[in-house]
This record gives sequence, C-alpha cells and structure tokens, in this order.
Amino acid sequence: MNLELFRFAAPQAFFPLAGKLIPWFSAAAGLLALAGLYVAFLVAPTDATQGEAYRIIFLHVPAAWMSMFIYLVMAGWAGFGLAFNTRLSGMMASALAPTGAMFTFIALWSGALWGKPTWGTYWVWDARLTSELILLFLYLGFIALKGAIPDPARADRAGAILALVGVVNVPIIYFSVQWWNTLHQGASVSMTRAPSMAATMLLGMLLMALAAWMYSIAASLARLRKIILQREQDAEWVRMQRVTA
Amino acid sequence: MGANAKSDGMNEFLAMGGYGWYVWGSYGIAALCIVLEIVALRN
Repeated sequence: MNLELFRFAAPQAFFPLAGKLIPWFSAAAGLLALAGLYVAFLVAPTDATQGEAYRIIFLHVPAAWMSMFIYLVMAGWAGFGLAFNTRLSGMMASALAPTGAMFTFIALWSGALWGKPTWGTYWVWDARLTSELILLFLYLGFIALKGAIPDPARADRAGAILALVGVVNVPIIYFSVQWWNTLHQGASVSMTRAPSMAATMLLGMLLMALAAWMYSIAASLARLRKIILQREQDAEWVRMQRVTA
Repeated sequence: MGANAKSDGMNEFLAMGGYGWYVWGSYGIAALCIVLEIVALRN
C-alpha cells in the first residue's frame, strides 16, 4: 500500500481533497439518478401482478441497501477510530449517520406506501420491517449520543461502542426474510442465482443503487468538511482558511 | 387534438394505473428528504 495515502488521515490534508471530490460524486449521482428514473418509469414494463405500484422498487430497494451498507461503513470507521485512536475516523462515522438515517427513513416510508396496495396494510410488525425500524433508532441514537457529549474524543468512543453493538442488527435485517416467516418477500437480487426479474427492471434498480452510492459519498464528504471545520476551529490552518475565504 | 392526446398521456402517466398516491408519495418524500439534506449541507 502506498504510504503517501496515509497523509489523508490528517483532517487538514483530507479537507481540500474532499472538497475536490464532492462535485464529481454529485455529478455522477445526478446523471445516474436521471438514467435510473428514465429506465424505472419509461423503459421498464408494467408488472403483470402489481401493475404500476411495483415501480416503488426502484427507490425502495436501493434505499434499503444503502441504509444497511452505510451502517456497516459507519460502524467500521467508528471501530477503527476506537482501536487506533485516529481523529478523522470518528468524524467519518458522524458524517455518515444522518445520510444513513435518511435512507432508512426512505426505505421504511416507500415500503409502507408499497405495502398498502400489495399487502393491504401500511405497516405490520414482521421481522424485516421491525428490524429496519430498529436500524433507524440506532442511527438516531448514535446521532443523539454523540450530540449529547461535548468532548469530541469521548463522544467518538461512546458512539463507536453503540455503533458496534448495533452492527448485530444488520445481518438480522438482511436474513430476517429467511429466518422468520415474514410478510416481506425474499431477496430479489442474489449473488448465487439468476435475478427473478426482467433485465430492464434489474438495470433500473442497479442504476438507482449506484446513484444512491454516489449521492451518499458526496453528502457525507460535504458533512465531513463541516465537521472538520467545527472540530478544528482553533487550529492554525482553519483560522487561515477563514481569513482567505 | 395533438395537445389533448399529449395531456391524456401525461395524466395517464401521473395516475400510475390508480397507484399514483403510492408511487408519487414514495418518490416525492424521498426527493424532499434529499433536497432538505442538500440545503442543510450547503448552509
């Protein structure tokens, strides 16, 4: 591994790099979302059993994937910071949490609006829905806990422990449809077998998922820059930044 | 007539085969969340 890359573990070095990356990830997110929405609404055929209601899948599944994946990355950074006491790691975890919470909310909301026409109810306390709701509470708890501790180093440690304990919920969400008898359907896309849907439907979903990835990176980098400026406000380089800006 | 055919097509698209509230309610709130996050990050 190139040792030069470790330079960016310093908030001061990462700040300008993040600033340069944000426009590229934002543009990629916008273009992929446009392509994804085009396929989702204008190319993909009407579903034989669900009619047009199934088009919620192009939003629901990428949002649900993102909600779980961001949690894993967030807990990973939090754990890394806990183990190696690196300042930027805790900031990374803080920067990811609100975007992860937002995708969790979108997954729950779009799921409710999809459940009504297909299952006949907006909500049911089945394992998949309940564990996803717990994920939302974990995100909110993480944000609230870190916000309640004024000392950043202590906040990072406490947040990391909460995030790591909560990680156990992610495989529970993912496998809930296999482990329990849920109203929620099983996985539509799997690594081990052919997808159970038309190629255009899969394409639309993958485009939307990539857009969600790019958006999440852009949004969390932008939030990371705000957090860096806030935490390092007394550092010489931040004061210089303020003078030049 | 051309314009009518166009607006019929548009209405049909927005109706989503009777599932308009569910489909647009999902995408609309998601779009609102994303716009709010972007506004919050820009300030």
